[in-house]
Amino acid sequence: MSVLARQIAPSARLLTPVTTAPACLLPRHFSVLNRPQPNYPGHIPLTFIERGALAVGSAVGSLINPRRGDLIATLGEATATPYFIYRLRDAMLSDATGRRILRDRPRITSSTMPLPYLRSLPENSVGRTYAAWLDREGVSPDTRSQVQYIDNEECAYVMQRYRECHDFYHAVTGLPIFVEGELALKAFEFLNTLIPMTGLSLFAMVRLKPAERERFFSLHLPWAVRSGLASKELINVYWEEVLEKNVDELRRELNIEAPPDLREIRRMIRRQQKEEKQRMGQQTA
Amino acid sequence: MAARPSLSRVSRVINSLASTSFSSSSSSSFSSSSSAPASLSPSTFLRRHSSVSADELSHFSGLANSWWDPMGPSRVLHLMNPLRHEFIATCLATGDTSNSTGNTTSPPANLHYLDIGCGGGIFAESLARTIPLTPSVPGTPTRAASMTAIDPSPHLIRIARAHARTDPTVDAHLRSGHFKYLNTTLEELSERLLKEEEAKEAEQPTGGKFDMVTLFEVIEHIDPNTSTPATFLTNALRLLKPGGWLVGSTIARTFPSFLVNQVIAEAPWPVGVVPRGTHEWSKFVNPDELEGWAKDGVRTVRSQLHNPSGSQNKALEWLCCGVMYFPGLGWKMVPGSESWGNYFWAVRV
Amino acid sequence: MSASRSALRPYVCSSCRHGVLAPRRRFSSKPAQNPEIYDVVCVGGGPAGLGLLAALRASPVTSKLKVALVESQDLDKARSWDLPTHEFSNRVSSLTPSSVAFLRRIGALELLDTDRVQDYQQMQVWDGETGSKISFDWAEETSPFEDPRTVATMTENANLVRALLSRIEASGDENLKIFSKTTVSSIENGSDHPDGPDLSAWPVLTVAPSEASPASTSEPPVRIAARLLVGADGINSPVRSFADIATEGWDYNRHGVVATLALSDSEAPTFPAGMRTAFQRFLPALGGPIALLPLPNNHATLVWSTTPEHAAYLKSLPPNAFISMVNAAFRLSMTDLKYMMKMKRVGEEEEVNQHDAELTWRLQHTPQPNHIPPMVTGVQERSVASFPLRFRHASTYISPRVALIGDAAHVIHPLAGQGLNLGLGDVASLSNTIEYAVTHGMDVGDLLSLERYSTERWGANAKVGGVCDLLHKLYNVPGQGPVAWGRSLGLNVIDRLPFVKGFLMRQAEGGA
Repeated sequence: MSVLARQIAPSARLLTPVTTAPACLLPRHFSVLNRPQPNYPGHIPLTFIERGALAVGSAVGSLINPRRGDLIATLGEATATPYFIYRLRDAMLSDATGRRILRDRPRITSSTMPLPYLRSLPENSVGRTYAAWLDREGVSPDTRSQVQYIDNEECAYVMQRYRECHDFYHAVTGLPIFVEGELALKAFEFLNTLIPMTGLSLFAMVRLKPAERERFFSLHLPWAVRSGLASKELINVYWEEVLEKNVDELRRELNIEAPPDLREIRRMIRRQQKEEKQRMGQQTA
Repeated sequence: MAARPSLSRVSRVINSLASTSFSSSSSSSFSSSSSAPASLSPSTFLRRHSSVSADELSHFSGLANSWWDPMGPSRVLHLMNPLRHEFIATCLATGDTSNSTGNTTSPPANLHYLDIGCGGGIFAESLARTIPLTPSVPGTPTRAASMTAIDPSPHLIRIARAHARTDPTVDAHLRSGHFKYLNTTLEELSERLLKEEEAKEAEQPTGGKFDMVTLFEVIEHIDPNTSTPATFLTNALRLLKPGGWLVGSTIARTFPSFLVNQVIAEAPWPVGVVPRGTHEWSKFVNPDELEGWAKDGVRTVRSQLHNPSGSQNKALEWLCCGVMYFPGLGWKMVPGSESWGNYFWAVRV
Repeated sequence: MSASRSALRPYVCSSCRHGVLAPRRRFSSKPAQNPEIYDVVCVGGGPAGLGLLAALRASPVTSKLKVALVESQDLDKARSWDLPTHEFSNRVSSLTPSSVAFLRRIGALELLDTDRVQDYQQMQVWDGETGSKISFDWAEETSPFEDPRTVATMTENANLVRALLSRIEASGDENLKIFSKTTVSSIENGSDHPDGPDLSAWPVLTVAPSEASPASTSEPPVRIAARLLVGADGINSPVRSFADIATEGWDYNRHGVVATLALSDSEAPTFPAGMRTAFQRFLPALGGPIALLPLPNNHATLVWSTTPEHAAYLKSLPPNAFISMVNAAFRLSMTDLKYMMKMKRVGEEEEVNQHDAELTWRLQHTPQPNHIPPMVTGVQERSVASFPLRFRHASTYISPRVALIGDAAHVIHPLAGQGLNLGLGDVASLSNTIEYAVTHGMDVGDLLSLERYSTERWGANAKVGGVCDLLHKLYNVPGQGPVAWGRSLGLNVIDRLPFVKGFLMRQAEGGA
């Protein structure tokens, strides 16, 4: 791609993966003409301006369409440096389990987490709950994109691990995948991991319907604040080792409150609305 | 200044002289003469102690108890004292008296000192301390072998003796006679020494007894009604052996010295450093005046000596160096500042 | 003000003194025998006390003064101290060029065992939290064709003490008395001897042997009167208590861990050959800096200032783990170091060095600057020890007939390696003061004579101690906040301003 093309169409580049980059000498403070070598496969070094543009562009895009998981991921990477991802990595380094995770570098893919095995685990175990949640929402562990824009190799793994564990957080908290559930989980994650993207995602509140927003502020946000601050760092949980553990026990260990069941709430609301409609119909009839 | 000091003050001085009890350690001939002043009439006494101004005497006697307080009114004098040693060393180095060997090892400590107006003994005691106790002790550039210190105030002499006892070295010199404190005046001492010489029937007609005579902060305190600086200087010079030095320090009588010594130095605390009444500007002496008088004195003394070696034709040696006090830093020799205030001077017989 | 209080209170004119007891300095009731009179009595036989004695004996002006030294330890042991070539004492000090010049002037430098002494020409200092660094050397001020100029010289304290003792011995026995293995039982004011001198303002010491032995109990205690009593007797100086001089200060709640280490040979030869470097890394999260100072034959001495808990942990580690911790402290991040300081030892029989495993792993993920020391490969047996760090400064160094030098006057943080140098500076100044007093007929113990010493040293030492204290506080703020940002900016700026750096280096060198 020509230099001009790169400068004019940064957003276009977001959609087309760049697999190679020209060689360079300087590790930092480089220009677009002088990009350094990638630190790991898939790494794309960005200048400060490029990173800023990426952050703004992906923020706008994910607000318009919250289903664009890749834009959310890019927003996360662009805003994680300089401080936040290092803090998260240091949080892992301060904990014995976190250090083991960093040493072993486990990945969560459909091959490392075989669903048949998970489904076979006891009822109410972490693995079974995770598998049930994956089935219910119709997603698989392979839907997560690779980290590309974080320069430090170890921090790139940390980001990747966070992304892959996100589904586990859903499983452990029981929050569903639609917008209300996602936002509640993002609030919880922000207070737990301090990743800016999670905090910025809360701006998607503007997309909620008024009733949903009211429920969010009165129910979910307080829960997220209570649990997010009280719980231990979720990034330090070695999920692969706790698959057979009881979920409630894990929640207790991690100090997470059982969240309000959103699906149940919506079913109740729909039932109420249906009853309301029936009564009104009877009155008019 | 009063034309005549009042009788009551003079009688107080006489009474204090009579009632003084001196330390038994003094082996000098002074004890025999201690009874003499008490029997004198005031007028005779005044004639005898003609250069002493009575209220100066009482002023300094009043400061006697705080003389040795390192933080007291005499602090600046204590701070200046080491420079006196340095100035004397300079004189001796230029003069090269009695150093016949001419080598660089320490010259012999063979000079006999007289300190006129020693006060509480600041300089006298410091010089006595440098007199070697044993031959193996190295001397200092001042090369002292003995020190005789005189002062007209008996109270001050008493203070000086008591303080000298606090140093075993000085105490030993006091007992052995190498260090003497005499409560007398220059005129009386000169008379006595003259009588002693006459008694020996002029074995040494060439004159004086001392190699070095020191006159620190004295010349500006003598009574102008009864003596003059020129007379005083000549009397002092008479006591020197040929080639000996008369060394002193005093203050110039100029406008800057008025400001510094009379106004600033005697101002109330915290600016002032000496008590009020210590200095009288009209009695200060300028370097050129002093040089004139000193050189005249030397000529007079030389002409009175029957010295076959023809010292009368030798050039007149005169040294003079200004010294200034910087608060916080102390005294520093500043050549060229003689007319600004304090200065050291020396003349050679 | 306490300075004038302690200066003035003992000065009472003789007539008053006989009538009134001075408040705290006790009178002796009746002299058992007349005390022997000395010109200078120095209590304390460490580097400062011995240095003063050597300086007085070396100068022709003061060599005939009657001097005495009182030391509670056995100076014969210090005289005969000897270690094999590859072993070094763990109490090592950094001597500035002005201290070295002083030792040369008094003739003690040539008596040092120079094979055990190491010059270094460069010092690398950097912040472990932020990475900002400063390097000290004289490269800007010297031509590339000269030999590199020494920044400081590492000397074992025992080597220095032995050299000073030899220097004193070489000056002969006359007018010298060394009371070894002797403690001071009491210090009092003397009395007025009617047919002798008036010693009522003189300090009179009663000294007795330190250890009770059949021979010693039969001898009466010895009494000595001092014209000038010099307190070189350490941080809790009894001489200072006698003079009623107050101290200000505090304990840092830190310990300095020392050890003698062996370094690996560096891969690339240094240029110019033989150039040695000292390294210091500030570890704000762990309580203080770690410093590695070079010794001959590729050895080094360690001084690691840290909290008492960390110090206890380090001392409890087996040698391999200790070595890994030292290497880690110069290379890994604060987070890693904090974690490693809490790692439990798995068991005595555990062969695997866990600290080394952590170090190896983390080194792969921690970028290293190029100014780090070579890896430590060995630690000398029984050389790991620690001492508490404190700050003390006497409110004044002088009192009538009393002067304080060395640790009795001031104790500072070791992060700038200036403690012993300040002590030697005191010795040089006091010996000059005594010389001046002798040549100018002054009583060496007189307050007016001692003022010269106090003026020269009190302010200068307060300044150095204050700067070290400030640096300690500045570099103890953990994390990446505004303080860390500010101090890093300051350090980087000074590193790039040669005239400021040169000025600081000259100040640290001392007046030569």
